[in-house]
Amino acid sequence: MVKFLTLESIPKAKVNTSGDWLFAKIFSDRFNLKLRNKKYLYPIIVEEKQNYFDLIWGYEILQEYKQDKIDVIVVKASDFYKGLINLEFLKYEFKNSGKIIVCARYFDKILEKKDKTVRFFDIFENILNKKEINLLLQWLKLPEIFDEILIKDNVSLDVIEVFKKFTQNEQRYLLPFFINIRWGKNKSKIFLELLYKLKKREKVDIEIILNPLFEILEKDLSPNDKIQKILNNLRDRCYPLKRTVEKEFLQWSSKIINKKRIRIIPANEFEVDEIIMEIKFDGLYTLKNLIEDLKHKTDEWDKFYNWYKSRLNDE
Amino acid sequence: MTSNIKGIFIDNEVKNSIISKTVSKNAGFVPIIYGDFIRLDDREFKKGYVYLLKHKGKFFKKCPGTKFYNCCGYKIIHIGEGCPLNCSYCILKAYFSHNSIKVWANIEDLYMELDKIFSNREKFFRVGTGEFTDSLAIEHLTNYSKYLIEFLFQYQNVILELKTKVVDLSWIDAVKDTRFILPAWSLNSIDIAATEERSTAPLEERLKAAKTCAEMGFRVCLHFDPIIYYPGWERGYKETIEMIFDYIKSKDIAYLSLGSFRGMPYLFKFIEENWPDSNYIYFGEFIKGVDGKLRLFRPIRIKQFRFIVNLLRKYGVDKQIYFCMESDEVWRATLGYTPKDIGGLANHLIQLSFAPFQSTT
Repeated sequence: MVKFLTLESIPKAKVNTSGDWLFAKIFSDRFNLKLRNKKYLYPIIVEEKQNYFDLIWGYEILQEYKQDKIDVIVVKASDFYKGLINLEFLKYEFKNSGKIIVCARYFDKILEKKDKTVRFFDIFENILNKKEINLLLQWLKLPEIFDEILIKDNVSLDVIEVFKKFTQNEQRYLLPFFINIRWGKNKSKIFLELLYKLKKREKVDIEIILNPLFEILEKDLSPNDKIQKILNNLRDRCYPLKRTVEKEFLQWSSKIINKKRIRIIPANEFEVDEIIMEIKFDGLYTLKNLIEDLKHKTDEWDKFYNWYKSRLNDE
Repeated sequence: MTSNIKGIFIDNEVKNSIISKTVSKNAGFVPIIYGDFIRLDDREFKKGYVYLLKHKGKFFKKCPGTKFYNCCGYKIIHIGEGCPLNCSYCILKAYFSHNSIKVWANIEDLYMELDKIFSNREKFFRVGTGEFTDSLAIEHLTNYSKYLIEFLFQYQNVILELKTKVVDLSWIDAVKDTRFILPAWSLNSIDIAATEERSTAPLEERLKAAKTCAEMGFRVCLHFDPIIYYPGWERGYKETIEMIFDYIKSKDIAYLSLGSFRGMPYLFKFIEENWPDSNYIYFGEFIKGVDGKLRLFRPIRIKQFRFIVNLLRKYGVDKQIYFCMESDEVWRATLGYTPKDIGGLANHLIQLSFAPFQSTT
């Protein structure tokens, strides 16, 4: 049975707004403002209890409401449908957002174990693709404490593919790296993959591998600088020879080229003897000067190229 | 090896072929089921089962090497796909989604196709069956190599290489001239052979079989592929190389290949998921090669190759050594020349394969 009231007939104090299905609460103020501005497009939906109302949808509109004539729809709904109604209203907000974990947790708690996977595919089919739903189901195996890093969009959902390879204890050690830093999608995966490689290779407690990284984390650096330093540290340990050769290559290149105008890079990660040169010029005159400059450094180029070949040929 | 086979499915279309009849005779207690299996989806083929099917495509193929590295020009006689052995690094397991062993039982069609190709006596062919399967892993069931040897004897321009990690010398009965057949064994460091090559014959057994062949007048081929980087690899490969020459002499080796462990990223994922104890994928410094496959950083590959080449040269193996899918840079740094300097790799290997004929004429 659906009943229609106006908000003036419902005292605000009698509306319970603590339902876990009110997913909009987790969105930023900016989003809530968007909802408020569209208040005439969204109804307020409540369920009538004995002497109070459960708010099903319309939290932000209810907070802001100053007029009398807003419609309130009174329905009867199970917890499952309360969640579904909220998900439907917010589906565009949840698309490509880690915040969807809040809905997933909600349904995870109210659905029975035996048909949970199938129901999840039904519930989220208009928001996520099959792979993403599977990732979501995998994420739910983590303790709830990890949801924060997804809600903050500090990592993306597919991080779980690497994250799940770590033990529960190791995952807890890793949490501080994600709690206050927003990692890009690729970088968080690279971080975990390098870490996992080191763990498998060195067969030591992850704590030992993480120690120098914790030091970086505690430094007074911007989040981006922290990420860069952490990744460089791990790369140095995972690819010691390659990193050394890369650094030596950079040293050589700064000796022999005008770095403002020319960039040299090893072709195919040093796989072949070729080197790629990029030249930036704004006219024939600049180009001529750069070529002259290169010509004058023939001896240096010879030395550089000898070093390059012998280094790559392990001589 | 029969113990690895859970059952045999024979497709009705090939139930009268000589291969199907041979398998029925050799199956022993392994159950045989007849039916229509050719249209099964790859996922419906059962792991650990052998399927005898009619192959409708080409039987004669070029090795799927890439243009970015030097390919040996190996030609494949495609007798089936999949392998009952369990080597952790095997691309076949990751590549074929069916996980079973398919045998192309319409050998009569294979004969017809090969006849058209090999009848051109102007051309010389080095062919093998060990690309999409182990040449001899289920020979005890199919006698495929035996039939092939009998068939190929009429073509004096074809040398057949049988590449394997098992010991099965039953095909020898069919050989009328040992010069036309090159029995070949894949080898690895003693550690890798012991831990990563499950269900295969132990290294020493492979080398004993190689010795038997050499004593019977065959020249053998050896393949170190994939060469794997792990702590202690020098000792491991040294021990294997020393073991080789406990059994055979350098003159018994027609050619010997070296290939570094490499693969598309999905192979690494496959190994990680299916062989969690196979730690070697974490030790190497892998880069994306020119062909898109992950392979060891060049100086590390060269270090390994140079170490192995130097040891082999000490034992007198020299011009027989070649690299599987390597760059000119690596050839030059380790052997001192490139395939071009020896007239092209494919041509060089043809020369080595047919060398016994040249020395007697």
